[in-house]
Amino acid sequence: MFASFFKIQLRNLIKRKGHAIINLLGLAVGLASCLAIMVWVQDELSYDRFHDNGESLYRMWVRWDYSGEPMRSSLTPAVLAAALKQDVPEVVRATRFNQEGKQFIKHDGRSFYDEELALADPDFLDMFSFPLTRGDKETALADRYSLIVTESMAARYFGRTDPVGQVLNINRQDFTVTAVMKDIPANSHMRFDCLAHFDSRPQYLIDITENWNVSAYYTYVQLSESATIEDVSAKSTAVVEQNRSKHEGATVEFDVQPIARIHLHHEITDYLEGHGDILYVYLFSALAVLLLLVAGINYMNLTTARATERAREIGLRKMVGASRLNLIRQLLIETLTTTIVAVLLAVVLVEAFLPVLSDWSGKQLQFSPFTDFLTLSIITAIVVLTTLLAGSYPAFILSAYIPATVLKGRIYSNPSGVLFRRLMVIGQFVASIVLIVGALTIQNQLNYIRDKELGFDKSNLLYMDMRGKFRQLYPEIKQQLTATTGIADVTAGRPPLTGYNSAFYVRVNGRLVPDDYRLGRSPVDADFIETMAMEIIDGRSFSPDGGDAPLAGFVLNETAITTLGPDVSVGSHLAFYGHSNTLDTLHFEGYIIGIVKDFHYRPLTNSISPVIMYHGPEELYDICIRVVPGQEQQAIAAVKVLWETHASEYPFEYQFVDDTIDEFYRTEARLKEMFGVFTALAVFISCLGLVGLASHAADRRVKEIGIRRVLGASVGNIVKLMSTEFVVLVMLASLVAVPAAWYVTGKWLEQFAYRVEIGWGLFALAILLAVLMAAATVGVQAVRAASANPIDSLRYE
Amino acid sequence: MLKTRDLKKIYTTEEVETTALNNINIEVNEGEFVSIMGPSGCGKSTLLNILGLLDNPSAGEYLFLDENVSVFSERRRASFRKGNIGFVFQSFNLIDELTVFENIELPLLYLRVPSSERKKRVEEALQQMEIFARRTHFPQQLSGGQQQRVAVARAVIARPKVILADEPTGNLDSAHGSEVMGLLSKLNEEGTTIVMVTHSPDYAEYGNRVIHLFDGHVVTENIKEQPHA
Ligand SMILES: Nc1ncnc2c1ncn2[C@@H]1O[C@H](COP(=O)(O)OP(=O)(O)OP(=O)(O)O)[C@@H](O)[C@H]1O
Ligand SMILES: [Mg+2]
Repeated sequence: MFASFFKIQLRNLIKRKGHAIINLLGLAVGLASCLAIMVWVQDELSYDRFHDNGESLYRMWVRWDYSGEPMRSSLTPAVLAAALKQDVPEVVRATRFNQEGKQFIKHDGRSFYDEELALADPDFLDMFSFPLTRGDKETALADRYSLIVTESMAARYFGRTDPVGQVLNINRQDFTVTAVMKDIPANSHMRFDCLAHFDSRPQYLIDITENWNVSAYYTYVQLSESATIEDVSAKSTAVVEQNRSKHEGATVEFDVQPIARIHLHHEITDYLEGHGDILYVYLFSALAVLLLLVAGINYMNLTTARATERAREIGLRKMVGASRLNLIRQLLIETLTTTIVAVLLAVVLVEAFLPVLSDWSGKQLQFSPFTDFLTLSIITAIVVLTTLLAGSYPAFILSAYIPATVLKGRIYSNPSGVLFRRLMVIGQFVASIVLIVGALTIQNQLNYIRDKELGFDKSNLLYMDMRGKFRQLYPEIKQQLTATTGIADVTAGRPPLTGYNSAFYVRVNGRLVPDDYRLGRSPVDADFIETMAMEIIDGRSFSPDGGDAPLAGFVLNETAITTLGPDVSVGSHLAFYGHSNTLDTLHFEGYIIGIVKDFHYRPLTNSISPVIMYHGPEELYDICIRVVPGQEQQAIAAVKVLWETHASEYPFEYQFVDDTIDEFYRTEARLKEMFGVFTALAVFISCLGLVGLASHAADRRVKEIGIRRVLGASVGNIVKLMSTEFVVLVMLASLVAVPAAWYVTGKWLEQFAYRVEIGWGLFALAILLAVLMAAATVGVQAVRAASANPIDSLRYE
Repeated sequence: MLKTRDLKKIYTTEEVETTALNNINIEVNEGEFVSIMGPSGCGKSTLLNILGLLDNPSAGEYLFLDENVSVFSERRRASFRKGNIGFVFQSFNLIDELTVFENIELPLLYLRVPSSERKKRVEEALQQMEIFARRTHFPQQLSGGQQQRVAVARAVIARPKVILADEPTGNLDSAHGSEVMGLLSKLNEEGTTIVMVTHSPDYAEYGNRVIHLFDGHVVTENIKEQPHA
């Protein structure tokens, strides 16, 4: 019986190659897109799930509320971990953690700047499943200057020699390698090449930060089986309250976040790199379902459209004894085999495009459809779902024919079937238009962010960490560089949006400012404001050559003025204190001398944050160079010469501010690319469906077209006759798509503090694109049908 | 064996109601060979389709082996059809995508006859109809007469009690027509009940009895001789 089904299917396939190809291609592309998205989603969901203790691992976070504007941060005091372990019984293990970023490493007389260093306490190795291949977990972090390196770092530095016992100089401190760790899996939110003891930080940093009032590090805990989150959070808050100095009207509550949530759930501000977003997981999952639907609809439409041809076979089968059930089974099996073939094609497509996909998503994606049980079951589920979705309607319709009517001769498509197909085409184009609007919106928003008035000039602005003598000699180097061709201006200080410091221990007008980590503290060179092209709106900028001494002059942005309170303006007294609980050591003080127009200090998904700038020659670590457009190479070469003279022991590393800013929107930029591609695919599949329907319509009306042509209709007339229907359908789809797209894109844009207006032009463009696409695909078929010699079609009737 | 009581068939289309059959009361006994004649459009095919359970009557009763099949659901009719009724049409109605062998085999597939037996029976039928050499051909590769022999083979393969033939010779020349009629008589002689629609008075003569239809009514029944008297 099955053999007979396959035979029929195969012969039909050969007989109607075009139709079969459209059907298969549509399904395969749809399934491939769906699978590709699944691979990506699976990867996103797999983050931090490989730890054996995963269920009991949490990261501490804190809810701050100073001024009725609560904030959630995952940065905690460095002293928290030890206190929790001691005072909260549910906390079995605890570790401080920080990613220090790339470090200068010296080895064998050469210096490197490639490896990312992380710091942790010994508990770290027991809590997380980062297995050691050499060395002992118990002793690997026992000493202050022990170092664990990953396998690939070990290979880079030591080749085949045993790394254990070797010495690496990191930031002028010798570290002894005690263990080798397997490389960190790509789906870990913690990323590093080497791991050292948390206490290996320089003593001055320890002095500043080992203190309840500085929240600058991450704390991870492992909870006992019986622990409840409520208990732990209440007890932790109590521990902190005992120790921390209090501020009027401020509340500080500690809580825990399961590590598996860290990657995707951004309810808590996080500064570790490469985060994902659950919103995108949902968005792309929806996209996958949509693509599957669009492809399924194609299959359904093409199959039912061909019902007239199949009807005779079905009727005859009934006549010789097939029951309806027999036929439903046959038709479903046909769909099933088509789907299976399509899925195999899809698997091949995904395999082929995996590198491209990895590139788009910035991941190392894995796809093992036949060995990974989960993937295999998802594929099976997709096959079954698609078969039922795409196959049941045709099976139901076709098997219902009463044999007598069918055998009489040709049956004509019943009106409800035609209506159904039209509705489905409308559905496909609603999806396509919504996606096109979505893709255009993402594009517009990203361009908007990129081109938005930032409050300073980010263009042609190079910045770099000053090191060694290069930093000490900054004033001379500045003079030399300013005189160089290709360089317009030179200043020092961290450019906005490239990183920042929080201001703690501040008194304004004698009143203590809550240590709100949003308040930025930015030591700059005297001409920083002018070089950044910031606009002074009140008061003045810094006087050159430290003219404000002995008291400091402060320049604040508008937001800082509003944040600090209504009594604060130019002339207000401001003081920074040293790093102690009692706030009794005055660091420096002065007056607010100017206010600059608001500029963005942190990435644009946040609103503008307050920042205090002051002239701080001792605290300048970054040099900023405005280069002349077109002369970048000369400028860089000039800087490099000076670097080699004064800081040759350090690698020469520089960045452009606008590149750094683009980095912040990497997730969005990747989203844009992926979304654009899948949108194009959805539109492609929809158009493929239209080609199928239109060519089928042309076949069905071949005689009618022939007669019309004989009677004098032009090719144009016929094309119009045949295309109008489809174009009208796309127009109807627009009516539904516009409000839907408006709603969805509005939701996405909500997360940005600064967002584009979605104008009517964008919708019009999307609709126009869809109509053009439909008209083009249908038109080609229509022209083909219309320009055939009418006699050929009539002769065969 | 077949018996209709006040059988009615009304086709309703958007504009007109056509009464294709009106109060048809006929009876066909086991082993009979009944011919149905009448002008075009008088309802012959309609009647035959209803007798073959391919279509429903609008009113009236239809008894097949004393069972009232007119109230059967589509599902029961389908299962009743297979094995009991074989069909032969003017336009052969073979499945183009299947070979001669596969076309003939089809009813046995739906009857779940095991494969070895299927093969045996189909080969027998092929021999009997003298189309064995053509068993791997597709319908389009055969002449009209050959196609109709395949259709007859397919109709008899499941050893049905009744064969319903709608103008089986309509598309054939007289030589092939006679050949098909010969096949049908032979089957009748072997005990199969046959109801055949035809326009040809000569072929109608093959039957024991001729029913004349006119405008949906039975006008006369000519009894030629007692069946198997
Ligand atoms: N599906 C249908 N819808 C509407 N009317 C129909 C339908 N099928 C048949 N008829 C009408 O019913 C009547 C009987 O048709 P039927 O096919 O039974 O005639 P027939 O006697 O077999 O004619 P012919 O000798 O030409 O084959 C005709 O008037 C025909 O127009
Ligand atoms: Mg007829």
